[in-house]
Amino acid sequence: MLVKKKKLRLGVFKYSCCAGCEFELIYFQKYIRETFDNVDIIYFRMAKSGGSEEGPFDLVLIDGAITEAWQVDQLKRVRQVARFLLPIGSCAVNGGIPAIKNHTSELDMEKRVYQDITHVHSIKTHPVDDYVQVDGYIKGCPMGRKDLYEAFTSLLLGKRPSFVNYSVCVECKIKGNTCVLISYGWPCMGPVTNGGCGALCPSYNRACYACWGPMEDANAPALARQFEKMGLAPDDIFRRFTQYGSTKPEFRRGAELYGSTTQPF
Amino acid sequence: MDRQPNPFNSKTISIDYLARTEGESGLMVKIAEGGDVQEIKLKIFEPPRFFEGFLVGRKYSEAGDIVSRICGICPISHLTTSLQAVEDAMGIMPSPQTRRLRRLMCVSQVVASHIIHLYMFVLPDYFGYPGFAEMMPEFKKETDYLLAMKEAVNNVAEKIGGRPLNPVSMVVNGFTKLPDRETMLSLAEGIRAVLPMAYETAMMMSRLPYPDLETEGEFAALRKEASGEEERGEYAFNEGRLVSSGGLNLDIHDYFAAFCEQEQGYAQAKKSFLKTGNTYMSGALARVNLKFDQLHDETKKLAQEIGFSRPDRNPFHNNLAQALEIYDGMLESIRLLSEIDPKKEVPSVDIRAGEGVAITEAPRGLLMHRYVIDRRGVIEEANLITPTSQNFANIERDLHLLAARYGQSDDHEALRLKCEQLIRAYDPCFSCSVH
Repeated sequence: MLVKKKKLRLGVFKYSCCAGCEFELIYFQKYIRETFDNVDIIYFRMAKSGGSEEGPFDLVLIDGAITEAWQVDQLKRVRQVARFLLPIGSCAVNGGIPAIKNHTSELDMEKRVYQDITHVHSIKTHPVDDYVQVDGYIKGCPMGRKDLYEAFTSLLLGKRPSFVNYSVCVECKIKGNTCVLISYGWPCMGPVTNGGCGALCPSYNRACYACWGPMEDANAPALARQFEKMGLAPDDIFRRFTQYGSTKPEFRRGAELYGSTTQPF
Repeated sequence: MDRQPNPFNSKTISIDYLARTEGESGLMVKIAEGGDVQEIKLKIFEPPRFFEGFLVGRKYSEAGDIVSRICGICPISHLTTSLQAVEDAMGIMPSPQTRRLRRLMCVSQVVASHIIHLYMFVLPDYFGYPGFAEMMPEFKKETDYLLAMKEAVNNVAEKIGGRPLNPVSMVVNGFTKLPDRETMLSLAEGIRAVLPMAYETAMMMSRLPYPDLETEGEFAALRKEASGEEERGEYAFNEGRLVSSGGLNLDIHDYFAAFCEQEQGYAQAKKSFLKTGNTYMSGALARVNLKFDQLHDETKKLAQEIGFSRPDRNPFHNNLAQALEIYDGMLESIRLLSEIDPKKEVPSVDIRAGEGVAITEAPRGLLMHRYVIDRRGVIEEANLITPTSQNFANIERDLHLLAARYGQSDDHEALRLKCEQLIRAYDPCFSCSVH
């Protein structure tokens, strides 16, 4: 009734990442038929030959972190022709795994991998919102299906999407999990990490390693100090807060108490 | 577009961003008047993410979770290889149950990856569509097959690993949580239900009009011989020796004695060669060629029905080999799921300094991880060699053969399509290749 049969013009752009979020999108399993019924793929290189970068797009999904200058140029052009733009997955949302390198000098990093570094043109890893305004975040590693579903249905219904915006702890409580931080003394990142995974790691008998990145306004320094009280070595605490999302101030404030973080700029 | 019908004119095929592959690459093919192939360059411009660089200084226990983010289609391969390299460095021998569960996870991933590759990346080329989404309205049965098979095999990784991509239960020396017997049996039922679709898939793949070509490189794969009372060794994914059609038979620790890699100015990926200078192909076709005897009997029968005879040197037939592996992988998954009765084991680690190497068969070929770890468990050196960088040289060599063979008879569009089909036949992953 409310749904108008107007197809969404979709663009998907990949930057520096594993493309796992794009895969998540093309599986999308049981929703795949409904999705493709309501979407026109204008640009999505992994799924389709050809297509136009010029748009215009109703929805652009950005997969991957920014690590080269040409990506910034394209991203800014795409933003201008996109009604809504959402980063998908941790790399695009918070730098993700590729941002681990930010705490070492770029030149050292290049020399560790290549003998001839003249053809390497990398810059520090940035999340998408360092360069353009975004209309929300689909977090996760790979991105969460719940938020992806929310994004598509909201656009089709013309409503404001409501993304998961609470910590992993909430999901442990809902599931009735034993707290692995308090009961077992494991260095769980759940209190500062955005939920949406359904408290996956604690449900699988291990500490959360923050793959969905920081929850907004999380108090990382408090958790970092708690880890210290529990007997974690400073370098281990530093690693906990730099594996994911250390481009974001929330986690950086936890990491910098126990090691030297490089500013992304 | 200045297309020249004169077959003796020069041709240039230039693709700036190749569609329907994992990651980012372009292609340049130049054929001179008269048909001489002047230039073949697979320009992999996927940006480097420096995994080998930033793994230095990280803990052994993080490595698996980090490297699974190298690849969105084969995270389980990277994760497993990493765990095995760490265990090799620390002298840990995981339990038979752990090794069998890992095998199950890897088989499920190989099958899942092949299904996506064949349906979404390969089929559109042969039916003349830009992508699978555009095919779906016309190909309802195929869409049903794709979705049903994908869900059945993904369920295995999801139930055992927590999620199909980047599973969380797999750690050094074990699993943090084990599925119960009932779950295993219901997963086996799920796969049994889609097995006929895998058979149909192989039949469909056998009817596609593959171009003719013979690769000149060697085939390389991991192979495990029968031990004890076993009738035949298992079709190796995680354990075994390195063998090649050129007579290589090596312990995996001697990888660097036989293989080397070179940097390319025009590509961010490195290119591997045999030290003899020869190129090689790894992946489904290499595995089926080198380990045909270790496939399930039903798969051998299917191979006969679809007219697959080995050694098959046509690289386009990698897609046929993938179809056989989908069927065989499902049979193997059913076997493992029915046999394994998970017993509680707690993964424990005695941290030791050392150097570790592991090689596994990822869906698209051989994957090598090597780490040097210090006595606190911190990684000091990391070297990762991925399937697509191992196949890189052979893909270009095949492109050369293809351009020489069809460069004059085909018009520009036909040749361009063949080049793309050839690259896709290898199921390359450019994100992996650069990492």
